[in-house]
Amino acid sequence: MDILNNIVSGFSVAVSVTNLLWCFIGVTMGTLVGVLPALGPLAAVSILLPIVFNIADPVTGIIFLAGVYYGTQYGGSTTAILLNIPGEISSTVTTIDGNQMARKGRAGAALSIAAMSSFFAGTVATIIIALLSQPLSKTAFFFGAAEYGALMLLGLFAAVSLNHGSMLKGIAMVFVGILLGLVGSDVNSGVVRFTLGIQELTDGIPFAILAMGLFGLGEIVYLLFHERKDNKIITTVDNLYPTKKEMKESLMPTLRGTFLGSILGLLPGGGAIMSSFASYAVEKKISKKPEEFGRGAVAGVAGPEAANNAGAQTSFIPMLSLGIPTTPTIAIILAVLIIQGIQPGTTVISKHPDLFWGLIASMWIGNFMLLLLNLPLVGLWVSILKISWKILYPIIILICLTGAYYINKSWFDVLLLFPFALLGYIFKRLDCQPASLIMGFVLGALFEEHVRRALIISRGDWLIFLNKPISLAFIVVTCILLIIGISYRKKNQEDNTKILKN
Amino acid sequence: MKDTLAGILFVIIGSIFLFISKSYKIGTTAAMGPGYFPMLIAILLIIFGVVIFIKSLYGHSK
Repeated sequence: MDILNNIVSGFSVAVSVTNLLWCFIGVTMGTLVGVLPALGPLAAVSILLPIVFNIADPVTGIIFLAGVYYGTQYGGSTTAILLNIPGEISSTVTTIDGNQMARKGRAGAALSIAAMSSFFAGTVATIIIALLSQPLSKTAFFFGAAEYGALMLLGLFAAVSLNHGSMLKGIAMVFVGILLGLVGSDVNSGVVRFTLGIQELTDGIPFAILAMGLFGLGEIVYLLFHERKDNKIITTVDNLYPTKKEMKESLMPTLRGTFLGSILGLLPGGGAIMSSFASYAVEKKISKKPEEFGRGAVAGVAGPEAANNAGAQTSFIPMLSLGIPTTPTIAIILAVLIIQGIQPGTTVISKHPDLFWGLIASMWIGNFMLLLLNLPLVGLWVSILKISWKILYPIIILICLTGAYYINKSWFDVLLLFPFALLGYIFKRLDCQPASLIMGFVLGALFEEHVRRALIISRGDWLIFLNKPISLAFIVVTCILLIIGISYRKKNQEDNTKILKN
Repeated sequence: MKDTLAGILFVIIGSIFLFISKSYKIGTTAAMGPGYFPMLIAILLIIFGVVIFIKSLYGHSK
């Protein structure tokens, strides 16, 4: 058993004291940010980026970031249940029945069910990552420049197709991201491009600063102007244990949610958000008592919670096996890998087995920590929710500013934070998703390189992308996803608003 | 209104990049210079900006 050996070696990486510690810190900080309303995984991962750059070992750094990522998923559901506000978008559906359970005095049970179904889903999804990533990376053995170029195209635009909001604006935001990603010296010619003569930008726009500006500072500024309500917690949590009946009711929805989430997580742009909505719709449709949905149905908590966690985990597969991020958060994690000197792509698993298997093992450990951590610490999370935004937002701003300085001990970086925060704020005001921008930014330079190389090989013939079967397949899939995106958008927005209204 | 402004913003950003990229060597498709690819993307961005702008003027009349 090759895989068994690998998993064992993975655990030996993950259980080292340093890695366990950083995994713990990661999931705790992730939960902390996830609990805060309106700050999701993107904000969490961005704000905490400076810490990663101060961790010497890239394996430890990535274990930490992954912990932050799925930590926010757990934190988000806590807020959804107790406050009726989604801590992050993918827990939106949990607000419906989770909060109803809380109003009926079953807040503890709802939290436990959310945590347990998330843990179960996380475990299964982790196993899927272990089984699927390696074969997938081997299929990419024959990829040339054209194939990679087409694959990047798929990664760039497929994510937009299933995102919320206008697709035209999403694609435009990808272009803006690509252009920003091209700032700095050109690999082929050495010409320094678009730096406006600023010396510090020769190596490109510092990625961490861009992310922190757009998703950290920009987000907070947006919240300051638009949503500065203090939260009222309407429930108290006393009994954490679900009844036998509630356990039984959550079993099948958890299984179905895990299945659904694991598959949707693999799709570009699928991930956690779509999974939870899809799972809720399925559970309501096949339930014998659909009238219970919206009044505190256990299935309405267990299913979506399992689905969003499974989706969040399996969305690592395309990144680890092919080097293609399918969601903005994963794109940030990928960018960190690149900065840490790990060439993303099909060789990550074979060249850095300790990173791959260590990450997988630590994902399971992290999920286990969250299960143990979340329930006893509910009191702590509740008290964080009680902190006024007048204290909280300045603290986060301060964290962003100091963090930005300590990445390179550079004041220029701190200054650079402000234009990007402004840009993030403006884009958000105009309903343009900065998340699409980060996809373009991360992949932009790589995309250019592959396209250029492919066209050198074909002597300038663009048809090379259509003549190679694999590359053609990627382009066809991209087109199909964009078309689905247009129709999905019309139908699904109605469905989702219907789900939320009922 | 939001789309109108967004369209204008995209056109402005695209134009800035288009303008600067013209100062770099463009080259040919087979041997792209440093200006080729950015110019291509900038033009695409401007086109999308214009489409978003025009759509916003006609689309939301109902």
